Amino acid sequence: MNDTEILALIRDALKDVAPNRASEWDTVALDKSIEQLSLDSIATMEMVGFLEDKTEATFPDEELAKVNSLGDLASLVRAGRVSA
Amino acid sequence: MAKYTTVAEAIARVGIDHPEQDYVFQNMQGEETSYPFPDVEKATAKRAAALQELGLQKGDRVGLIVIEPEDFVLTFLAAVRIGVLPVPLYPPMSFGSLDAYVERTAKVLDTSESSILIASTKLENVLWGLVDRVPSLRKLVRVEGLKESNRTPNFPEITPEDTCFLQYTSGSTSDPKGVIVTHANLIENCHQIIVNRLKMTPEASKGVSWLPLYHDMGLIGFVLAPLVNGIPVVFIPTMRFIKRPSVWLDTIHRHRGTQTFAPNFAYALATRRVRKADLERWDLSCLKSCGCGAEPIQPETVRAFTDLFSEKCDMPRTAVLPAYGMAEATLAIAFKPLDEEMKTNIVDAATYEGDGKVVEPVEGQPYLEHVSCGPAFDGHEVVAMDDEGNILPEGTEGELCLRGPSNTKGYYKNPEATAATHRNGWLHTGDLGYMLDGEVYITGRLKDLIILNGRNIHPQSIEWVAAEVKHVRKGNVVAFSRPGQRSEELVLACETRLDDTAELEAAVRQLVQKELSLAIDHLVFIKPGSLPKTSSGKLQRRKTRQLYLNGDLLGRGSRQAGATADKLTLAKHVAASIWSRAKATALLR
Repeated sequence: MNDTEILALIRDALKDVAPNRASEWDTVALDKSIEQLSLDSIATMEMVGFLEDKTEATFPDEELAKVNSLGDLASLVRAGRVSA
Repeated sequence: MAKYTTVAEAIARVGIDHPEQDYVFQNMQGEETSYPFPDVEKATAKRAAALQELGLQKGDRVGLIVIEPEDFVLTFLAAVRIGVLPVPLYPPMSFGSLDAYVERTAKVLDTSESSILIASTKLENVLWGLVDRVPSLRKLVRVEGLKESNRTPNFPEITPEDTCFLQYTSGSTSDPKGVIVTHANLIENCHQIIVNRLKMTPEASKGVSWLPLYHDMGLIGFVLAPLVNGIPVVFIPTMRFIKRPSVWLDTIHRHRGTQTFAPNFAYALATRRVRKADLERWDLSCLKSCGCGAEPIQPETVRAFTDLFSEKCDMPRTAVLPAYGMAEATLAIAFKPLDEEMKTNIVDAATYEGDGKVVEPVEGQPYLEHVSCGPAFDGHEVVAMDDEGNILPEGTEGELCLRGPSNTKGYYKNPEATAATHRNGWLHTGDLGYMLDGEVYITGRLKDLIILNGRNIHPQSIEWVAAEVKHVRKGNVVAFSRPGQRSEELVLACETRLDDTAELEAAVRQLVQKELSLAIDHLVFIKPGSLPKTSSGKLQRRKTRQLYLNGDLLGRGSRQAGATADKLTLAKHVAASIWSRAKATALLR
């Protein structure tokens, strides 16, 4: 997956968990911090679940704990598959 | 007739009486470990000895912040066996301010006068400071260190009237209240739930739950109630379910689970996230009941879940079971009857909202749909009361009040709070609702508590935080909920003099997220003077909410800020009310 595709996937994940803010997600950039997204904790974990499903990967909890921005999340996706 | 008279007796004897039944603990990777009840007895005996080595005695309080379900359950039960009162606490949430968390945790430990805090090692960094902050707390102990002890535990005599544990309700940070739950309360309530209403048996039943174990629904519903009745249970880590909701129904399918329980949002999540491959594979004909409670139940969510899984996976249409209860009544007070489909009551909206009276819907007029939570448990009563404590006739809204052996006696060392809710033998719930044909209908909350994804939130907490942002008019912020697609959604209405509110919106959202870990679904800015107030100047949350839902709040001479997405959401609500009117018309044909 290239960077454009990863960004598109993350935007899809956001639209999936918070469809009422779709227009906001269309322009969201990778430098956005997770806090700035203003998603509740369930929606944030749903987003992770969506990305795991689409990439057929599992993001280990320790790696997730270090994620502070969408860019960090993109790095996890880019890092490729961990056997699910 | 319940088999055991105390939970302590149950833990000691259930392995002898039901040696085949077990607790199964699943980890984050899905690996499962079985603890047959005889092993639960042995493991809790060992841990009880370890607790006694720490100097803990009957009557002492011990805080418990433990992430691994196995460790949590065994330590909790071990404490119960020696008459030590566990005080279960939430672990810190992954996103949110740690300061607020530590503050509330300190308050609970202080109020309960806990002498020791037992916690998961990985939480040490966050929790170590508590020992200095809480005068009664002498030690922070790692739960992983509790397993080994060579001493023999000394089991004191425990009577049904003894306190089993303290359940702190999700009150506001400044005033956590610890419900005193006795062994008698638990034996009674658990018997009603498992035996009388759900008709579960050790041979034919199996519970499956992903619920957090430090909250009454998971702790009493799935740890204690099954144990005292010899019922096996499978525990899924909560985080595992949230990340991958399919594990819930998949575990039920694999284990042939017969009972489960979850708040409304989880049913919506499961319906939304299910995969085609799973629908083709799962056989849910084993499911006898899927309890639904702890937050407002949305009929559409229940219908969508029921339609989908009964059609594709043979789940009985009677499975989803609306339930009503609260910590102050131990756990539950009313359930839908086991073999009936969900029942709702459709009423004329204007009459209900205006006079609190239940009348038939009127053609072309908006209607409300209320979900029945069934009759109260045997030997228990639920009534609706007016402000003066008079019991109202059926079909009239009032405050729901409870009476019966499941009622707890009060809050730990808090006589004022106890006196406020326990009056003339009745427990005042703070919930609004009515009785109809002997069944309980909950329609709102007296104190405007907002329930989001199972969390009780006081509007003031959100309002105060938002008011800290510059340009938000202090004292002129109202938080309330609205029904959303999947569950209740959070709306915040703020008065401001600013015309361009894009930056203000971002600032408010961020601060609320940071301080409270809450996302605002709709943030509305309105001109000063727009919020309805009483003659004495108090904000009227319910009225504000009503204006908002009718689309009248924004129209009060103000500039509406917000993205196109918000306008679409409002349009969706207007469309929904048109649809409900259309449906009312169709109903009456």
